[in-house]
Amino acid sequence: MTEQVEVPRQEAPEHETVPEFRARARAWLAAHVPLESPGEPFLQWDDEGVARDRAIQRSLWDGGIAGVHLPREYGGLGLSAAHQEAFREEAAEYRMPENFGNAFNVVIPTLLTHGSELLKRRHIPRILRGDDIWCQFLSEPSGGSDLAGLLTRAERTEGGFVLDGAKIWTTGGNYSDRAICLARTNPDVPKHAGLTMFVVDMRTPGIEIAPVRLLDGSADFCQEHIDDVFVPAENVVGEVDDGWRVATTLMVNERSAIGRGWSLGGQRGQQADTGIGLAPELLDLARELGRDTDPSVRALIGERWVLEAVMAATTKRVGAAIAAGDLPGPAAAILKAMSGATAVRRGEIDLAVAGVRAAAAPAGGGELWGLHRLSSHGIGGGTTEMQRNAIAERLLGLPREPSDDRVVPFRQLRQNTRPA
Amino acid sequence: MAFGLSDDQELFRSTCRRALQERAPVERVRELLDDPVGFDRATWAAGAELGWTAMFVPEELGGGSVSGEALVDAAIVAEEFGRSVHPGPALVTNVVAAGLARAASPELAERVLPGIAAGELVATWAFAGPDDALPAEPPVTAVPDGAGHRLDGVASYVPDAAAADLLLVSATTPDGPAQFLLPRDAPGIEVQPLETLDLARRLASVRFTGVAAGPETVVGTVGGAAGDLEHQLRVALVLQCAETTGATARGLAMTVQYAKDRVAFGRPIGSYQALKHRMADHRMWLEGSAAITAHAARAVALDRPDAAIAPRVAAAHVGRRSTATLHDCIQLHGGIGMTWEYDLHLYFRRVISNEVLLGSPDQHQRALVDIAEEAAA
Repeated sequence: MTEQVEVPRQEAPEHETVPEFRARARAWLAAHVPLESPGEPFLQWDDEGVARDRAIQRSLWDGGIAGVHLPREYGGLGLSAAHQEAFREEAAEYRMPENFGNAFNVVIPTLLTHGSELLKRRHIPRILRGDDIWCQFLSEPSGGSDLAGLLTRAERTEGGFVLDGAKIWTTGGNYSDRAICLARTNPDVPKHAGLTMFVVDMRTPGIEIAPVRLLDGSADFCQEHIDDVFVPAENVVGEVDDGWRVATTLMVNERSAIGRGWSLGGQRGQQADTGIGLAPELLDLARELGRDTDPSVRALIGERWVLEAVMAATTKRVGAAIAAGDLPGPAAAILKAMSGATAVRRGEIDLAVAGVRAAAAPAGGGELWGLHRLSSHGIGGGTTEMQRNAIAERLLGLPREPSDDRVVPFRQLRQNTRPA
Repeated sequence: MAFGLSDDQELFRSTCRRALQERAPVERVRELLDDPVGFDRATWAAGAELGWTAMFVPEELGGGSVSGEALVDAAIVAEEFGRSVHPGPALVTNVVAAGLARAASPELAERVLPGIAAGELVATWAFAGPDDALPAEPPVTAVPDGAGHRLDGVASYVPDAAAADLLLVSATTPDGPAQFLLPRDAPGIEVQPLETLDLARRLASVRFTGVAAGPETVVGTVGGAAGDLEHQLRVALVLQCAETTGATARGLAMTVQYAKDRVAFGRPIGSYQALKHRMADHRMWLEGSAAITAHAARAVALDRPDAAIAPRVAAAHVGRRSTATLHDCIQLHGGIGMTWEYDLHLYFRRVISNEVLLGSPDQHQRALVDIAEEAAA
């Protein structure tokens, strides 16, 4: 357990003011990191994009500007939040290695709070150097919203645990090197009290990964079968059976990162800062269809701009308010719920304006407007219903629905099932 | 609006809130519902001391704002007014003050702005037509007559006209729009009160019959006032959105509290997801209202590139969502929500009224398309 892990260091000046650091970061970024090109997807989740992100993260390390505010003993620069903010500002125009988003936004802060010295020394530098991409093994095919009711088992064995079960909705499971994985170590206590968080090496024999194709044809998520996967005892994050506490930290970190816009660089698309723009696409379509003089169509086009402007202004405000402590972390649920509701209404408007054009478009060209109505934005990353629970219970202080699933031993509960 | 304010602005807000709670609790608002003037002069005077009508007035004329952000400060007052369904002309007086500070001649400004800042002069703005909150041309006409103009016509939905000392009249002249600042008791001006949906707000039609408006009453330039009208509308929309947001926040807070306290079928009704999810959605849209209103306030105050767009976006969102929220707040209350004695309908009335008084959400959305087309042309 007390195995010594050599922590590598970045080459960086010993003491650096914010302006000095900013100048150094600016110069390195300009010389070594590609600019963000317009219209580029936020996450490029394919071989090319992943390889590029690994190279960019490695370059940040080589330049001595990786993990700005992370502790030096784990490979970071140990600088202040102001230095980190300066980095984000400088990096806003550049392509950031967003495939490392989970690792930086969720895994590192969770390890810093709950991880053993060994786990921190072993894993954080590997992230900073661009070696390890991380994913989260939380949701299961049997249940996503009721996370604490998960079924994946972790049974003690010589030197560690053996995991069996299944996980799903893993962003980037097929490209990840490690997973942070919640599993049940004790079914004889109430469900929240029998969980343990593990670090799992994705290359361990017994993990089978398959992409999940979504209703719009995309495949951004994976599902995994976990079959007799051995995990050494030293990979437990926090204490055995105390995994719910770790998961709570993880989810708080996740929400506040969402509130910051998730990006590892500065916020992009700062619509609320630079002013509200009126994107021409739908108006152009209405003109092409001869509907642009119809007052009801004009009102719908205006409503679409309203939806997007309100979403942007709210994102900025809630993110800043959470960062400043003026709103609690669960307020990020407002953004998730609003983005779902906004996507639905946007899809309705596009369908109404496009008419039959929404149903089909010339092969290989022309926008298929009906795809905007085929939205599932209210599900991924936590359903709208769970966001509403968070807003109602955590922000408005309304009581939970009474249920005995928090007090009855897990084994006696009716367990999560998915209809065949 | 809570987030993004300075310490001075937060202090100003809490002072405003306390003054309204002490002097004008909802019981007092109810006492004034049948009063022809409809507001309390003592509260008005106390508000003037707090600076409720001083923010758009330059310091050398006795005004000044807490933070230097006049419109943001005025929006704080408006939001607190909404929270208390406060009656009275402070908001419209501020719109007039903003218009005068922008366009009035130095002589005119010196004559009236100190009185407005001190709360000695109540001002209102006459611009709407009988069938349209935002007519393409103001409904009152002004034709040259000697050295001045002669005004005829009817302006509608004029707030607090009966109590006003000054009328800022938007008028149509052969050369284009013009504005005149007239004493409300000038010969030929007749105020006819309207029956209002918002019981705590007085609206009137104002008839102008051969009203003589001398050159000293002109605000800005005759024929060249379109930009001034537009600016006043932007200010008015921001203040209205802030007021509506305050009223909605209060209505939702009452509803959430009620849902915690009321027990039915063995538990607080707020524990049922069928109800709490609706309140969560209202809280979500309310955050959107606060965010877009704060954005619009700064866009207008700093004359940012989206200064024409942002207040209309805000008005469309805030208007539509707030009315829907207050309607559902009534529904979530059940029986008590439909009674006269329960205060929620006072807030509901204000919010519905505000949704349409300065143009409907649909109108604002169509105006956005007009703006996009003008920009592209």
